[in-house]
Amino acid sequence: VLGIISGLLFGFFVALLLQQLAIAPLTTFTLIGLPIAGVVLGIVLSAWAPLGRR
Amino acid sequence: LLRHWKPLLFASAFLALMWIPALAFASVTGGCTGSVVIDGTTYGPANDTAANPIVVPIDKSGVVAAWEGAVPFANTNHHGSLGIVVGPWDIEIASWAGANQEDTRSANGNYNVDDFKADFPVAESLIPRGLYELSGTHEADGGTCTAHVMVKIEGSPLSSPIGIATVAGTIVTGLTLLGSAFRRRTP
Repeated sequence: VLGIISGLLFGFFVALLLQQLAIAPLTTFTLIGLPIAGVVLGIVLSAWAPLGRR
Repeated sequence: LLRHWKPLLFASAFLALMWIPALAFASVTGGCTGSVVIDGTTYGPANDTAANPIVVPIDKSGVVAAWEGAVPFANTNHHGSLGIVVGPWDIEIASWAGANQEDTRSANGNYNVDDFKADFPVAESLIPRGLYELSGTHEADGGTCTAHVMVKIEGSPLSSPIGIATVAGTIVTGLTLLGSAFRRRTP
């Protein structure tokens, strides 16, 4: 759950950051695609947990 | 290094995805022409990529945008609109319409950037900097034109509260995402 929520918000903030840094505007790809990519990344990282025990 | 090939692979794929929107696309269809001179630089339909945008120096005062435009077809009973692209949506920021019985096919004028700042619903310091895609259409009895351009509101993202919140949000959510990558203790 933490991975999904943080991945979604991270993707959204990365899209905003790219727009603010004048790298990419808020297109469908950045505003919708990056949060989806973030959710996928969050799920993968949470399920795989490659960084060892906290 | 080989032991960490999986995280490196995922990180590379994610970063590669992030750069795709910077690629070029679109411009003007329908044969319409136009240009604008801002702060001594002439911009036109070629300014349709993130790497080559129309630059608006928002922090300078007294900047005038001298614009001109023309259509190649009968321009009677025309109407059109201009919008900011936000994801899959277009937020309309201007529209026009008229009978134009004299069939005027070109126009020009000056637009003061200070007027834009005064008309903006928030203070100048709160105007979000960064890159915007503008999308417009113009229809008349003789034909239709569509256009896409990129506009960069010049300035550091850290010069506006929205920019500061964006940087802080990226760092906090990035660290939280990284935290989800740690293995949990088994009871």
